Amino acid sequence: MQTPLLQVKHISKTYHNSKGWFRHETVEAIKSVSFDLKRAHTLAVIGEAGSGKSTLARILAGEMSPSSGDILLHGQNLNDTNQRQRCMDIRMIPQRPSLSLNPRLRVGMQILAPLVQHRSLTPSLRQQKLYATMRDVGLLEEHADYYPNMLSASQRLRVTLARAMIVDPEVLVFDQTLSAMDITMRAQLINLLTMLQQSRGMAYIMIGHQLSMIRHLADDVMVMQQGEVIEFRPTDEIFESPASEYTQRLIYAYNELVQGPSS
Amino acid sequence: MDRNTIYQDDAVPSIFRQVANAFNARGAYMVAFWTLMIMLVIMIFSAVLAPYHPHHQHTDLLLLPPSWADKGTVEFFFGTDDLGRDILSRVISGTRYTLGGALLTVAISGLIGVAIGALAAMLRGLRSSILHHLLDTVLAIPSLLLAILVIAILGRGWSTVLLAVTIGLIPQFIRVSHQAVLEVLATEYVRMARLDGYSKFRLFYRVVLPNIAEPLIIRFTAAISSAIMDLAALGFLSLGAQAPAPEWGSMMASGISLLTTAPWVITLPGIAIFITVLSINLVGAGLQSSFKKLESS
Repeated sequence: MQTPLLQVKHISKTYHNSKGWFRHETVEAIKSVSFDLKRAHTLAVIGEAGSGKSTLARILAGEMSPSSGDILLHGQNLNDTNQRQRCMDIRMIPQRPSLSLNPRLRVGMQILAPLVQHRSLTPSLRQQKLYATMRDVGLLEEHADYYPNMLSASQRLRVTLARAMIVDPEVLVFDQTLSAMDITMRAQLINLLTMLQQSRGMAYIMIGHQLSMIRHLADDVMVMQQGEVIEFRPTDEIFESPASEYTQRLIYAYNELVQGPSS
Repeated sequence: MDRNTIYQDDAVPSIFRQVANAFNARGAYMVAFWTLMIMLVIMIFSAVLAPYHPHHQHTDLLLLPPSWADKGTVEFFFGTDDLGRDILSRVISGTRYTLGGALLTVAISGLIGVAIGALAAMLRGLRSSILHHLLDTVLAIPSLLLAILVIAILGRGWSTVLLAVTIGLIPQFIRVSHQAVLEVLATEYVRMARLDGYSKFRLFYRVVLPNIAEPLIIRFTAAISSAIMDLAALGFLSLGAQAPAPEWGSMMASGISLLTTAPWVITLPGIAIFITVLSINLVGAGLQSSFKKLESS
Protein backbone atom coordinates (compact mmCIF):
# COMPACT_ATOMS: atom_id res chain seq x y z
CA MET A 1 0.00 0.00 0.00
CA GLN A 2 1.16 3.47 -0.83
CA THR A 3 2.16 5.62 2.17
CA PRO A 4 -0.30 8.40 2.87
CA LEU A 5 0.82 11.98 2.31
CA LEU A 6 0.38 13.04 5.90
CA GLN A 7 0.41 10.76 8.91
CA VAL A 8 -0.34 12.08 12.34
CA LYS A 9 0.58 9.66 15.08
CA HIS A 10 -0.64 10.04 18.63
CA ILE A 11 -0.01 13.73 18.99
CA SER A 12 -1.07 15.41 22.17
CA LYS A 13 -0.70 18.89 23.53
CA THR A 14 -0.74 20.01 27.11
CA TYR A 15 -0.90 23.66 28.07
CA HIS A 16 0.60 24.92 31.28
CA ASN A 17 -1.25 28.02 32.29
CA SER A 18 0.28 29.80 35.19
CA LYS A 19 -2.25 30.97 37.72
CA GLY A 20 -0.59 33.41 40.00
CA TRP A 21 3.06 33.03 40.90
CA PHE A 22 3.50 29.42 41.78
CA ARG A 23 0.35 27.58 40.88
CA HIS A 24 0.02 26.00 37.50
CA GLU A 25 -2.97 24.64 35.73
CA THR A 26 -2.48 21.98 33.11
CA VAL A 27 -4.98 21.63 30.32
CA GLU A 28 -4.86 18.72 27.95
CA ALA A 29 -6.02 20.30 24.72
CA ILE A 30 -5.40 17.25 22.56
CA LYS A 31 -5.16 13.69 23.80
CA SER A 32 -3.42 11.29 21.45
CA VAL A 33 -4.91 12.17 18.08
CA SER A 34 -3.95 10.11 15.03
CA PHE A 35 -5.08 10.18 11.43
CA ASP A 36 -3.86 9.73 7.87
CA LEU A 37 -4.46 11.97 4.90
CA LYS A 38 -4.00 10.99 1.26
CA ARG A 39 -2.94 13.22 -1.60
CA ALA A 40 -5.71 15.41 -3.05
CA HIS A 41 -8.03 14.41 -0.26
CA THR A 42 -9.88 16.63 2.14
CA LEU A 43 -10.33 16.05 5.82
CA ALA A 44 -12.80 18.06 7.84
CA VAL A 45 -12.36 18.45 11.56
CA ILE A 46 -15.44 19.43 13.51
CA GLY A 47 -16.12 19.76 17.19
CA GLU A 48 -17.39 22.11 19.83
CA ALA A 49 -15.51 25.11 21.09
CA GLY A 50 -12.65 23.94 23.27
CA SER A 51 -12.48 20.53 21.65
CA GLY A 52 -8.89 21.12 20.59
CA LYS A 53 -9.42 21.61 16.89
CA SER A 54 -7.72 24.99 16.76
CA THR A 55 -4.78 23.61 18.69
CA LEU A 56 -4.56 20.82 16.16
CA ALA A 57 -4.51 23.37 13.35
CA ARG A 58 -1.73 25.33 14.96
CA ILE A 59 0.35 22.25 15.57
CA LEU A 60 -0.07 21.12 11.98
CA ALA A 61 0.87 24.55 10.65
CA GLY A 62 4.02 24.50 12.72
CA GLU A 63 3.10 27.38 14.96
CA MET A 64 3.66 25.24 18.03
CA SER A 65 5.09 21.82 18.57
CA PRO A 66 3.11 18.95 20.06
CA SER A 67 3.90 17.79 23.58
CA SER A 68 4.30 14.28 22.25
CA GLY A 69 3.67 12.33 19.08
CA ASP A 70 4.89 12.55 15.51
CA ILE A 71 3.77 14.13 12.30
CA LEU A 72 5.00 12.39 9.16
CA LEU A 73 4.94 13.86 5.69
CA HIS A 74 5.76 11.39 2.89
CA GLY A 75 6.77 9.03 5.65
CA GLN A 76 9.35 11.46 6.96
CA ASN A 77 9.19 12.75 10.49
CA LEU A 78 8.55 16.49 10.47
CA ASN A 79 9.89 17.09 13.93
CA ASP A 80 13.39 16.30 12.71
CA THR A 81 13.47 18.39 9.59
CA ASN A 82 14.23 22.03 9.53
CA GLN A 83 11.51 24.20 10.98
CA ARG A 84 11.34 26.56 8.02
CA GLN A 85 10.94 23.87 5.43
CA ARG A 86 8.25 22.34 7.54
CA CYS A 87 6.26 25.58 7.59
CA MET A 88 6.41 25.59 3.81
CA ASP A 89 4.99 22.11 3.33
CA ILE A 90 1.94 22.61 5.46
CA ARG A 91 0.45 26.06 5.11
CA MET A 92 -2.22 27.72 7.17
CA ILE A 93 -5.08 29.84 5.86
CA PRO A 94 -6.07 32.10 8.75
CA GLN A 95 -9.50 32.57 10.18
CA ARG A 96 -9.88 36.21 9.16
CA PRO A 97 -8.01 36.92 5.93
CA SER A 98 -8.51 40.67 6.19
CA LEU A 99 -6.70 40.89 9.49
CA SER A 100 -3.91 38.60 8.39
CA LEU A 101 -2.55 40.97 5.77
CA ASN A 102 -0.06 43.67 6.61
CA PRO A 103 -1.88 46.92 5.81
CA ARG A 104 1.33 48.77 4.99
CA LEU A 105 2.82 46.43 2.43
CA ARG A 106 1.84 45.85 -1.18
CA VAL A 107 -0.05 42.64 -1.78
CA GLY A 108 2.53 41.28 -4.21
CA MET A 109 5.31 41.64 -1.68
CA GLN A 110 3.27 39.80 0.91
CA ILE A 111 2.49 36.92 -1.40
CA LEU A 112 6.16 36.68 -2.26
CA ALA A 113 7.32 36.87 1.34
CA PRO A 114 7.67 33.14 2.01
CA LEU A 115 9.48 32.68 -1.29
CA VAL A 116 11.96 35.47 -0.67
CA GLN A 117 12.86 33.98 2.68
CA HIS A 118 13.50 30.51 1.51
CA ARG A 119 14.54 30.11 -2.04
CA SER A 120 17.22 31.75 -4.05
CA LEU A 121 15.28 32.50 -7.19
CA THR A 122 16.11 35.19 -9.69
CA PRO A 123 13.79 38.19 -9.50
CA SER A 124 12.26 37.50 -12.90
CA LEU A 125 11.45 33.90 -12.03
CA ARG A 126 9.98 35.07 -8.78
CA GLN A 127 7.82 37.55 -10.67
CA GLN A 128 6.58 34.83 -13.01
CA LYS A 129 5.78 32.60 -10.09
CA LEU A 130 3.90 35.43 -8.40
CA TYR A 131 1.77 36.13 -11.46
CA ALA A 132 1.09 32.45 -12.08
CA THR A 133 -0.06 31.93 -8.51
CA MET A 134 -2.18 35.05 -8.57
CA ARG A 135 -3.86 33.91 -11.76
CA ASP A 136 -4.50 30.51 -10.21
CA VAL A 137 -6.44 31.99 -7.34
CA GLY A 138 -8.32 34.36 -9.60
CA LEU A 139 -6.48 37.62 -9.06
CA LEU A 140 -5.24 39.98 -11.73
CA GLU A 141 -1.59 40.85 -12.17
CA GLU A 142 -2.13 44.49 -11.33
CA HIS A 143 -3.47 43.52 -7.93
CA ALA A 144 0.13 42.90 -6.92
CA ASP A 145 0.66 46.63 -6.56
CA TYR A 146 -2.43 47.16 -4.39
CA TYR A 147 -2.51 47.58 -0.67
CA PRO A 148 -4.86 45.26 1.23
CA ASN A 149 -7.36 48.01 2.03
CA MET A 150 -8.02 48.49 -1.68
CA LEU A 151 -9.24 44.94 -2.13
CA SER A 152 -12.59 43.37 -1.35
CA ALA A 153 -13.01 40.72 1.31
CA SER A 154 -13.04 37.87 -1.17
CA GLN A 155 -9.97 39.24 -2.94
CA ARG A 156 -8.16 39.37 0.39
CA LEU A 157 -9.02 35.74 0.94
CA ARG A 158 -7.55 34.97 -2.47
CA VAL A 159 -4.42 36.85 -1.48
CA THR A 160 -3.98 34.73 1.61
CA LEU A 161 -4.54 31.65 -0.52
CA ALA A 162 -1.91 32.81 -2.97
CA ARG A 163 0.50 33.54 -0.14
CA ALA A 164 0.02 30.03 1.16
CA MET A 165 0.32 28.42 -2.24
CA ILE A 166 3.31 30.19 -3.66
CA VAL A 167 5.71 27.74 -2.06
CA ASP A 168 3.81 24.76 -3.51
CA PRO A 169 2.70 23.24 -0.23
CA GLU A 170 1.43 19.71 0.10
CA VAL A 171 -1.21 20.43 2.70
CA LEU A 172 -3.38 23.47 3.36
CA VAL A 173 -4.93 23.93 6.77
CA PHE A 174 -8.03 26.13 6.90
CA ASP A 175 -8.43 27.37 10.43
CA GLN A 176 -12.16 28.14 10.45
CA THR A 177 -11.57 30.29 7.42
CA LEU A 178 -14.96 29.59 6.03
CA SER A 179 -17.14 30.38 8.99
CA ALA A 180 -16.84 34.14 8.62
CA MET A 181 -17.79 34.20 4.98
CA ASP A 182 -21.08 35.05 3.37
CA ILE A 183 -22.87 32.61 1.12
CA THR A 184 -21.72 33.90 -2.27
CA MET A 185 -18.11 33.98 -1.20
CA ARG A 186 -18.40 30.47 0.13
CA ALA A 187 -19.74 29.27 -3.17
CA GLN A 188 -16.90 30.94 -5.05
CA LEU A 189 -14.42 29.48 -2.66
CA ILE A 190 -15.73 25.94 -2.97
CA ASN A 191 -15.31 26.09 -6.73
CA LEU A 192 -11.85 27.60 -6.45
CA LEU A 193 -10.68 25.07 -3.89
CA THR A 194 -11.96 22.05 -5.83
CA MET A 195 -10.26 23.34 -8.95
CA LEU A 196 -6.96 23.92 -7.18
CA GLN A 197 -7.08 20.54 -5.55
CA GLN A 198 -7.56 18.85 -8.89
CA SER A 199 -4.80 20.78 -10.62
CA ARG A 200 -2.22 20.70 -7.85
CA GLY A 201 -3.09 17.62 -5.83
CA MET A 202 -3.00 19.41 -2.52
CA ALA A 203 -4.60 17.91 0.54
CA TYR A 204 -6.88 20.09 2.64
CA ILE A 205 -7.62 20.03 6.31
CA MET A 206 -10.67 22.10 7.12
CA ILE A 207 -11.29 23.10 10.67
CA GLY A 208 -14.73 24.41 11.55
CA HIS A 209 -18.33 23.43 11.40
CA GLN A 210 -19.76 24.66 8.16
CA LEU A 211 -21.52 21.40 7.48
CA SER A 212 -22.81 22.43 4.08
CA MET A 213 -19.27 23.12 2.90
CA ILE A 214 -17.93 20.00 4.49
CA ARG A 215 -20.52 17.95 2.68
CA HIS A 216 -19.33 19.41 -0.63
CA LEU A 217 -15.63 19.29 -0.08
CA ALA A 218 -14.61 16.77 2.52
CA ASP A 219 -13.80 13.14 1.88
CA ASP A 220 -13.55 12.27 5.54
CA VAL A 221 -14.83 13.87 8.68
CA MET A 222 -13.15 13.76 12.04
CA VAL A 223 -15.24 14.69 15.06
CA MET A 224 -13.42 15.88 18.16
CA GLN A 225 -14.66 16.31 21.67
CA GLN A 226 -12.55 17.40 24.62
CA GLY A 227 -9.31 16.70 22.82
CA GLU A 228 -10.22 13.25 21.64
CA VAL A 229 -11.35 11.89 18.33
CA ILE A 230 -14.80 10.43 18.84
CA GLU A 231 -15.55 9.67 15.23
CA PHE A 232 -13.51 9.40 12.04
CA ARG A 233 -15.37 8.22 8.98
CA PRO A 234 -16.10 9.09 5.34
CA THR A 235 -18.38 12.10 4.91
CA ASP A 236 -21.34 10.21 3.49
CA GLU A 237 -21.43 7.76 6.37
CA ILE A 238 -21.24 10.52 8.93
CA PHE A 239 -24.11 12.35 7.35
CA GLU A 240 -26.23 9.20 7.00
CA SER A 241 -25.59 7.50 10.28
CA PRO A 242 -23.85 9.63 12.87
CA ALA A 243 -22.66 7.44 15.72
CA SER A 244 -21.81 9.67 18.65
CA GLU A 245 -24.37 11.77 20.44
CA TYR A 246 -22.67 15.07 19.59
CA THR A 247 -22.56 14.27 15.89
CA GLN A 248 -26.16 13.14 15.91
CA ARG A 249 -27.24 16.45 17.34
CA LEU A 250 -25.15 18.36 14.85
CA ILE A 251 -26.42 16.44 11.84
CA TYR A 252 -29.97 16.63 13.07
CA ALA A 253 -29.73 20.39 13.38
CA TYR A 254 -28.17 20.62 9.95
CA ASN A 255 -30.86 18.51 8.32
CA GLU A 256 -33.55 20.52 9.99
CA LEU A 257 -31.97 23.66 8.62
CA VAL A 258 -31.66 22.32 5.11
CA GLN A 259 -34.89 20.37 4.73
CA GLY A 260 -37.09 22.14 7.20
CA PRO A 261 -38.47 20.62 10.43
CA SER A 262 -39.09 16.91 10.00
CA SER A 263 -42.22 16.68 12.09
CA MET B 1 -2.23 65.99 -22.87
CA ASP B 2 -0.49 63.52 -20.64
CA ARG B 3 -1.61 59.93 -20.56
CA ASN B 4 -2.91 60.22 -17.02
CA THR B 5 -6.12 61.57 -18.45
CA ILE B 6 -6.63 58.42 -20.50
CA TYR B 7 -5.58 55.79 -17.98
CA GLN B 8 -6.97 56.82 -14.67
CA ASP B 9 -4.57 55.04 -12.37
CA ASP B 10 -1.31 54.07 -13.89
CA ALA B 11 0.21 52.79 -10.73
CA VAL B 12 -0.95 52.45 -7.17
CA PRO B 13 0.91 55.12 -5.20
CA SER B 14 3.00 53.97 -2.27
CA ILE B 15 1.82 54.57 1.28
CA PHE B 16 4.28 57.44 1.58
CA ARG B 17 2.90 59.03 -1.60
CA GLN B 18 -0.67 58.57 -0.43
CA VAL B 19 0.05 60.33 2.83
CA ALA B 20 1.88 63.10 0.99
CA ASN B 21 -1.04 63.52 -1.42
CA ALA B 22 -3.56 63.75 1.40
CA PHE B 23 -1.29 66.27 3.12
CA ASN B 24 -0.90 68.33 -0.04
CA ALA B 25 -4.64 68.62 -0.45
CA ARG B 26 -5.01 70.88 2.57
CA GLY B 27 -3.81 74.47 2.18
CA ALA B 28 -3.30 75.28 5.85
CA TYR B 29 -1.03 72.31 6.37
CA MET B 30 1.02 73.19 3.34
CA VAL B 31 1.46 76.77 4.57
CA ALA B 32 2.67 75.42 7.89
CA PHE B 33 4.95 72.95 6.15
CA TRP B 34 6.60 75.60 3.99
CA THR B 35 6.91 77.97 6.94
CA LEU B 36 8.80 75.23 8.68
CA MET B 37 10.94 74.60 5.61
CA ILE B 38 11.82 78.31 5.40
CA MET B 39 12.69 78.23 9.11
CA LEU B 40 15.00 75.32 8.46
CA VAL B 41 16.68 77.12 5.57
CA ILE B 42 17.12 80.20 7.77
CA MET B 43 18.58 77.98 10.47
CA ILE B 44 21.09 76.37 8.15
CA PHE B 45 22.21 79.63 6.54
CA SER B 46 21.78 81.84 9.60
CA ALA B 47 25.43 82.94 9.54
CA VAL B 48 25.00 84.26 6.00
CA LEU B 49 21.47 85.63 6.33
CA ALA B 50 21.94 87.64 9.53
CA PRO B 51 22.80 91.24 8.55
CA TYR B 52 24.99 91.81 11.60
CA HIS B 53 26.84 89.67 14.06
CA PRO B 54 24.33 88.81 16.79
CA HIS B 55 26.72 89.93 19.52
CA HIS B 56 27.82 93.17 17.87
CA GLN B 57 26.77 96.17 19.94
CA HIS B 58 25.90 99.35 18.04
CA THR B 59 26.54 101.60 21.03
CA ASP B 60 25.14 104.70 19.37
CA LEU B 61 21.84 103.04 18.45
CA LEU B 62 20.38 101.69 21.70
CA LEU B 63 16.72 100.61 21.75
CA LEU B 64 16.03 101.56 18.15
CA PRO B 65 12.39 100.69 17.35
CA PRO B 66 11.54 98.35 14.45
CA SER B 67 11.52 99.78 10.96
CA TRP B 68 7.73 100.09 10.73
CA ALA B 69 7.69 102.49 13.69
CA ASP B 70 8.17 106.21 13.08
CA LYS B 71 11.69 106.35 14.47
CA GLY B 72 12.86 103.06 13.03
CA THR B 73 15.30 102.56 10.19
CA VAL B 74 15.44 99.90 7.52
CA GLU B 75 19.05 99.07 8.44
CA PHE B 76 17.79 97.59 11.71
CA PHE B 77 14.60 95.92 10.53
CA PHE B 78 13.45 94.61 13.92
CA GLY B 79 15.16 97.41 15.85
CA THR B 80 17.85 97.01 18.49
CA ASP B 81 17.89 96.04 22.13
CA ASP B 82 19.26 97.85 25.15
CA LEU B 83 22.83 97.01 24.22
CA GLY B 84 22.39 98.10 20.62
CA ARG B 85 22.34 94.58 19.16
CA ASP B 86 20.29 94.05 16.00
CA ILE B 87 17.21 92.00 16.94
CA LEU B 88 16.65 90.60 13.44
CA SER B 89 20.17 89.15 13.48
CA ARG B 90 19.58 87.76 16.92
CA VAL B 91 16.26 86.16 15.98
CA ILE B 92 17.84 84.64 12.88
CA SER B 93 20.81 83.31 14.82
CA GLY B 94 18.43 82.14 17.53
CA THR B 95 16.92 79.56 15.16
CA ARG B 96 20.12 77.59 15.61
CA TYR B 97 19.67 77.52 19.35
CA THR B 98 15.96 77.04 19.77
CA LEU B 99 14.90 75.18 16.63
CA GLY B 100 18.24 73.46 16.04
CA GLY B 101 18.52 72.50 19.69
CA ALA B 102 15.00 71.08 19.63
CA LEU B 103 15.68 69.03 16.50
CA LEU B 104 18.91 67.70 17.97
CA THR B 105 17.38 66.74 21.30
CA VAL B 106 14.37 65.10 19.64
CA ALA B 107 16.57 63.15 17.23
CA ILE B 108 18.75 61.78 20.01
CA SER B 109 15.98 61.11 22.50
CA GLY B 110 13.83 59.61 19.74
CA LEU B 111 16.52 57.17 18.70
CA ILE B 112 17.21 56.10 22.27
CA GLY B 113 13.55 56.04 23.28
CA VAL B 114 12.29 54.08 20.30
CA ALA B 115 15.11 51.56 20.61
CA ILE B 116 14.40 50.96 24.29
CA GLY B 117 10.64 50.89 23.78
CA ALA B 118 10.79 48.46 20.88
CA LEU B 119 13.22 46.26 22.78
CA ALA B 120 11.01 46.28 25.85
CA ALA B 121 8.06 45.26 23.72
CA MET B 122 9.95 42.46 21.97
CA LEU B 123 11.29 41.09 25.24
CA ARG B 124 9.14 39.12 27.60
CA GLY B 125 8.89 38.62 31.30
CA LEU B 126 10.95 40.32 33.97
CA ARG B 127 13.28 42.34 31.76
CA SER B 128 10.41 43.89 29.84
CA SER B 129 8.50 44.50 33.03
CA ILE B 130 11.42 46.31 34.67
CA LEU B 131 11.98 48.56 31.67
CA HIS B 132 8.31 49.25 31.34
CA HIS B 133 7.41 50.03 34.94
CA LEU B 134 10.56 52.00 35.63
CA LEU B 135 9.80 54.26 32.71
CA ASP B 136 6.15 54.56 33.59
CA THR B 137 7.31 56.05 36.86
CA VAL B 138 9.57 58.50 35.05
CA LEU B 139 6.74 59.43 32.72
CA ALA B 140 4.68 60.62 35.67
CA ILE B 141 7.09 63.59 35.99
CA PRO B 142 6.48 66.32 33.38
CA SER B 143 9.34 66.75 30.96
CA LEU B 144 10.05 70.35 31.97
CA LEU B 145 10.26 69.37 35.63
CA LEU B 146 12.52 66.49 34.76
CA ALA B 147 14.74 68.88 32.81
CA ILE B 148 14.90 71.29 35.76
CA LEU B 149 15.83 68.34 37.96
CA VAL B 150 18.74 67.47 35.68
CA ILE B 151 19.86 71.11 35.64
CA ALA B 152 19.70 71.22 39.43
CA ILE B 153 22.17 68.37 39.49
CA LEU B 154 24.47 69.33 36.61
CA GLY B 155 24.28 73.12 36.83
CA ARG B 156 23.02 75.59 34.26
CA GLY B 157 24.37 76.09 30.76
CA TRP B 158 23.41 75.38 27.18
CA SER B 159 24.84 71.87 26.90
CA THR B 160 23.30 70.90 30.23
CA VAL B 161 19.93 72.11 29.02
CA LEU B 162 20.22 70.10 25.82
CA LEU B 163 21.03 67.02 27.86
CA ALA B 164 18.23 67.77 30.30
CA VAL B 165 15.61 68.18 27.58
CA THR B 166 16.84 65.02 25.84
CA ILE B 167 16.46 63.04 29.03
CA GLY B 168 13.08 64.62 29.64
CA LEU B 169 11.79 63.53 26.23
CA ILE B 170 13.00 59.93 26.27
CA PRO B 171 10.19 58.44 28.44
CA GLN B 172 7.46 59.58 26.04
CA PHE B 173 9.18 57.92 23.12
CA ILE B 174 9.62 54.72 25.05
CA ARG B 175 5.99 54.76 26.03
CA VAL B 176 4.68 55.36 22.52
CA SER B 177 6.95 52.88 20.77
CA HIS B 178 6.41 50.23 23.42
CA GLN B 179 2.67 50.53 23.09
CA ALA B 180 2.74 50.60 19.29
CA VAL B 181 5.06 47.62 18.93
CA LEU B 182 3.02 45.57 21.39
CA GLU B 183 -0.13 46.37 19.48
CA VAL B 184 1.39 45.34 16.17
CA LEU B 185 2.94 42.17 17.57
CA ALA B 186 -0.47 41.03 18.77
CA THR B 187 -2.02 41.23 15.31
CA GLU B 188 -2.90 38.37 13.06
CA TYR B 189 -0.59 39.53 10.29
CA VAL B 190 2.45 39.24 12.51
CA ARG B 191 1.40 35.71 13.36
CA MET B 192 1.13 34.86 9.68
CA ALA B 193 4.40 36.59 8.92
CA ARG B 194 6.08 34.38 11.51
CA LEU B 195 4.67 31.33 9.74
CA ASP B 196 5.96 32.74 6.47
CA GLY B 197 9.40 32.39 7.96
CA TYR B 198 10.39 36.02 8.47
CA SER B 199 13.58 36.41 10.41
CA LYS B 200 13.43 38.58 13.52
CA PHE B 201 15.13 41.48 11.81
CA ARG B 202 12.98 41.32 8.68
CA LEU B 203 9.88 41.02 10.79
CA PHE B 204 10.80 44.23 12.57
CA TYR B 205 11.72 46.13 9.48
CA ARG B 206 9.11 44.91 7.03
CA VAL B 207 6.10 44.32 9.25
CA VAL B 208 6.47 46.14 12.55
CA LEU B 209 8.20 49.34 11.48
CA PRO B 210 5.78 50.38 8.70
CA ASN B 211 2.91 49.84 11.08
CA ILE B 212 4.30 51.87 13.96
CA ALA B 213 5.43 54.71 11.69
CA GLU B 214 2.20 56.60 12.15
CA PRO B 215 2.19 57.01 15.96
CA LEU B 216 5.93 57.60 15.91
CA ILE B 217 5.84 60.38 13.32
CA ILE B 218 3.06 62.11 15.20
CA ARG B 219 4.97 61.72 18.46
CA PHE B 220 8.09 63.17 16.84
CA THR B 221 6.35 66.33 15.67
CA ALA B 222 4.72 66.78 19.07
CA ALA B 223 8.10 66.25 20.72
CA ILE B 224 9.79 68.90 18.56
CA SER B 225 7.26 71.53 19.54
CA SER B 226 7.43 70.59 23.19
CA ALA B 227 11.25 70.63 23.04
CA ILE B 228 11.14 74.17 21.64
CA MET B 229 8.84 75.23 24.45
CA ASP B 230 11.07 73.56 27.05
CA LEU B 231 14.26 75.09 25.68
CA ALA B 232 12.69 78.53 25.50
CA ALA B 233 11.15 78.20 28.96
CA LEU B 234 14.46 77.15 30.48
CA GLY B 235 16.17 79.97 28.62
CA PHE B 236 13.57 82.38 29.96
CA LEU B 237 14.28 81.19 33.48
CA SER B 238 17.96 81.81 32.62
CA LEU B 239 18.73 78.20 33.33
CA GLY B 240 19.64 77.54 29.72
CA ALA B 241 21.65 79.43 27.18
CA GLN B 242 23.64 82.12 29.02
CA ALA B 243 23.47 85.85 28.50
CA PRO B 244 24.95 86.83 25.14
CA ALA B 245 23.67 83.75 23.31
CA PRO B 246 20.70 84.71 21.11
CA GLU B 247 18.39 81.95 22.34
CA TRP B 248 14.77 83.10 21.96
CA GLY B 249 13.76 82.36 25.52
CA SER B 250 16.72 84.16 27.07
CA MET B 251 16.22 87.07 24.65
CA MET B 252 12.71 87.43 26.01
CA ALA B 253 13.99 87.23 29.57
CA SER B 254 16.51 90.01 28.95
CA GLY B 255 13.79 92.19 27.48
CA ILE B 256 11.31 91.77 30.30
CA SER B 257 12.44 94.88 32.19
CA LEU B 258 11.91 96.92 29.02
CA LEU B 259 8.37 95.69 28.43
CA THR B 260 6.78 99.12 28.66
CA THR B 261 9.48 101.22 27.01
CA ALA B 262 10.68 98.82 24.28
CA PRO B 263 8.07 96.04 23.80
CA TRP B 264 9.62 94.85 20.55
CA VAL B 265 12.61 93.42 22.40
CA ILE B 266 10.38 90.82 24.04
CA THR B 267 7.56 90.41 21.49
CA LEU B 268 9.62 89.67 18.37
CA PRO B 269 11.41 86.56 19.72
CA GLY B 270 8.07 85.57 21.25
CA ILE B 271 6.41 85.75 17.85
CA ALA B 272 9.24 83.67 16.42
CA ILE B 273 8.59 80.96 19.02
CA PHE B 274 4.85 81.17 18.39
CA ILE B 275 5.15 80.80 14.62
CA THR B 276 7.59 77.93 14.87
CA VAL B 277 5.55 75.96 17.39
CA LEU B 278 2.31 76.66 15.55
CA SER B 279 3.66 75.48 12.22
CA ILE B 280 5.15 72.34 13.74
CA ASN B 281 1.88 71.50 15.47
CA LEU B 282 -0.04 72.12 12.27
CA VAL B 283 2.27 69.83 10.33
CA GLY B 284 1.74 67.20 13.03
CA ALA B 285 -2.02 67.59 12.85
CA GLY B 286 -1.87 67.42 9.06
CA LEU B 287 0.14 64.20 9.14
CA GLN B 288 -2.29 62.72 11.62
CA SER B 289 -5.32 63.49 9.49
CA SER B 290 -3.52 62.27 6.37
CA PHE B 291 -2.87 58.94 8.04
CA LYS B 292 -6.51 58.80 9.12
CA LYS B 293 -7.57 59.29 5.52
CA LEU B 294 -5.36 56.38 4.56
CA GLU B 295 -7.09 54.17 7.08
CA SER B 296 -10.59 54.96 5.90
CA SER B 297 -10.00 54.63 2.16
